[in-house]
Amino acid sequence: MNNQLLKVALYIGKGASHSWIWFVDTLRKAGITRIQFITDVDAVQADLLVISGGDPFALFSHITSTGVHRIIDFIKEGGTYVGICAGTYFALKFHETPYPWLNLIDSTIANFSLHPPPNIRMPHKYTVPYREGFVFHPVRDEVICTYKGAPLSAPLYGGPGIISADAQPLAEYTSFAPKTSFLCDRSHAASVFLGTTAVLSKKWNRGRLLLFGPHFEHPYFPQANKELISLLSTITPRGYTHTLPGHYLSGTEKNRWLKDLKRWISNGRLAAFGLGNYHWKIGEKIYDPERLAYFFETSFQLIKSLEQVPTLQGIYDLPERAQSAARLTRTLGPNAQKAEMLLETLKTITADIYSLYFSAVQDKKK
Amino acid sequence: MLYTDLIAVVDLEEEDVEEVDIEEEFIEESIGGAAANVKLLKEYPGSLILGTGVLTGTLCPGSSVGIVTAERNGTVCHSAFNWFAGTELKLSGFSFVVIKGKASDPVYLWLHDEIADIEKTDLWGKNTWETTDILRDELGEDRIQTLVIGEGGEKQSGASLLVNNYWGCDDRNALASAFGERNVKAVTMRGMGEIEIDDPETFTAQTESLLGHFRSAVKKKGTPIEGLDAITHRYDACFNCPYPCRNFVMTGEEEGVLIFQRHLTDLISHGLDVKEAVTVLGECYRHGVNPHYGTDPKALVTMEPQPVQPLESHEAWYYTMGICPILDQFSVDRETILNLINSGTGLDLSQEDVDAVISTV
Repeated sequence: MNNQLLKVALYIGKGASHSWIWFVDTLRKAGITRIQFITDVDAVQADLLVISGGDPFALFSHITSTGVHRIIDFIKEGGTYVGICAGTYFALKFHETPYPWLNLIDSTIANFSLHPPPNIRMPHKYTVPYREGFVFHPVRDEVICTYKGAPLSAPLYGGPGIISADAQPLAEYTSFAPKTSFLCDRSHAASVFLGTTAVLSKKWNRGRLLLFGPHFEHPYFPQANKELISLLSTITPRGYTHTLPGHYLSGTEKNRWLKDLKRWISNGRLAAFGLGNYHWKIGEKIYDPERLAYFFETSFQLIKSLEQVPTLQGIYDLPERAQSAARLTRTLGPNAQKAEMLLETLKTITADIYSLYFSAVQDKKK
Repeated sequence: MLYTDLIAVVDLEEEDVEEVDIEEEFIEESIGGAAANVKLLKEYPGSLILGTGVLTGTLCPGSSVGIVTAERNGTVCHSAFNWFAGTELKLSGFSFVVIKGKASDPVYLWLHDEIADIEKTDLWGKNTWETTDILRDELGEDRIQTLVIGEGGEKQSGASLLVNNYWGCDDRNALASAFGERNVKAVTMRGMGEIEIDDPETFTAQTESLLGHFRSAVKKKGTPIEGLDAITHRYDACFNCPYPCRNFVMTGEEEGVLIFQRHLTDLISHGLDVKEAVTVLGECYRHGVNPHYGTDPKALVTMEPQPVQPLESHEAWYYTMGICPILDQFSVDRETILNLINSGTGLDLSQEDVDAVISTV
């Protein structure tokens, strides 16, 4: 199958964390560059809709029931929904009276409990209230799955252990790794997670769902990246067109424009790395400065790679938006509302800089 | 090649910055630091030059030194700046900065990630401590390093002193006034650039061996001044230095002074006891004036030009390498440093080549 013709709609709106960047980079390395970055799900024109890590409560607050129906229609019409971590919880039906998320696969979440085992570290990462109980996270970081009969490492950052007869299991959690972090006693973690499903697939109407607990797209796990791409290559492109935003820039005009963008991304990057010990609760998740810096860092490295490129499609207001973001970062204190505003701004800026990057790549191909 | 890629040529009159690539020949002919600054000064006469040594910001122990160079009273003068400023200058992407002309209004330079910004400022008149605090607050990062002038530099006093963040540099020739003449209140630096090393494995092994030497040779800390240890709060070292030579002395509930030996010794030689000297030193640093010339900081902000004080004989070498001359007392093996330069740059310099370059400083 020709992966390069796949068109991917990647959700980066409210509720999305930063792990979508890992997904883009995995696609980029595989030559899949037709990526539409979306902040809502109103008009998805793509083969895949990806909802990655983050906060499913915040996602639902933003897209509402209307958005949920749009996603369901997208799958009904033949689209593939790829959920990772939060995107997986969002698709599963794992409670008798679930929140009105997608609820497309009947399941039990092994890490849902009225009384989670005692927490031993990282309390802010351990539980998220759900109805009368808690979704809890017994382990983080590297875990070992069995995938296609062989062990495969991938990191877990809050994804579920799934028990479901309603879908085809593709991978199962089989053991922990030396780098696994235990947030509760190891024996409890083992009894909760091991043997449950890590990745599953379900055909639904004309479409399909591919759900991942662990982050197969994480940049430190190339084998998992490869298996993810291999799974995506089973999707048949449906011929969607793809246009990049922006205006054609070259020569001195391009250099000046890109330098201005670099200036403000650099200012933001340095200020973000200097934010120190602040933490902000945004939705149900705790964000730290490192998370904000990640967007600036990604953007900065992309811009560096564009300095030698002769032409690109500039998005005219991008330097001004980067300037606002840098200034907001410089003055960011403990205020969670300001942090949320910055987070949302940074997501769209980073996505636009990826679009710039892809415009240069496509130009090279011509 | 042991440098980040660029020289910034800042034209204050045109409010323009040209970025010039550092060529290998430039390093081969001038190695770096003070010698490279001299070469740049010949190319851009009348300029104020900031430069980093060939080893500044690397794993080489004591490699914290950056150099300011300008002509004073017809003589080329150098001042070292240590702490983290030399390293941050190199990591800002600009291993050298040439400052030409005079700004029409007070400005500061903001060097970051291969971007050199000329920013207008209303900080003229603020003391050095306030200036550093405001700049760090404005730019949103406390690790930003500043080279800043106080009233002494603004008034182009013969006793002016360049200040790095809050503490005086070894500025024996009032190079702070060269900033004041150009309406440059400060240079701020921060970056996450990468220093390219030709043969990283050999370079790392050589620096480890050098560090081993210093670990066994350095058996002391602080400045050897009688009575100073008793009032010392802690001992600090500059970037990657095995010798924590700087005493930090508290002068109030939340305020203190980082001691530079030469400055404190000067004040004691003027008749102050060590406690008084520390307090006056703090005031001198705030005003950006050199205590060598007296104990009244306010009087020092308007002083006639003073005779040039040349570098001490061993300093030209250290100022070219980017290594702090204070390590000279622990016998730095120049052959090892030469090998380090060659493995880091990929050049094949001989001791004679180095000596010839040092003779230009």
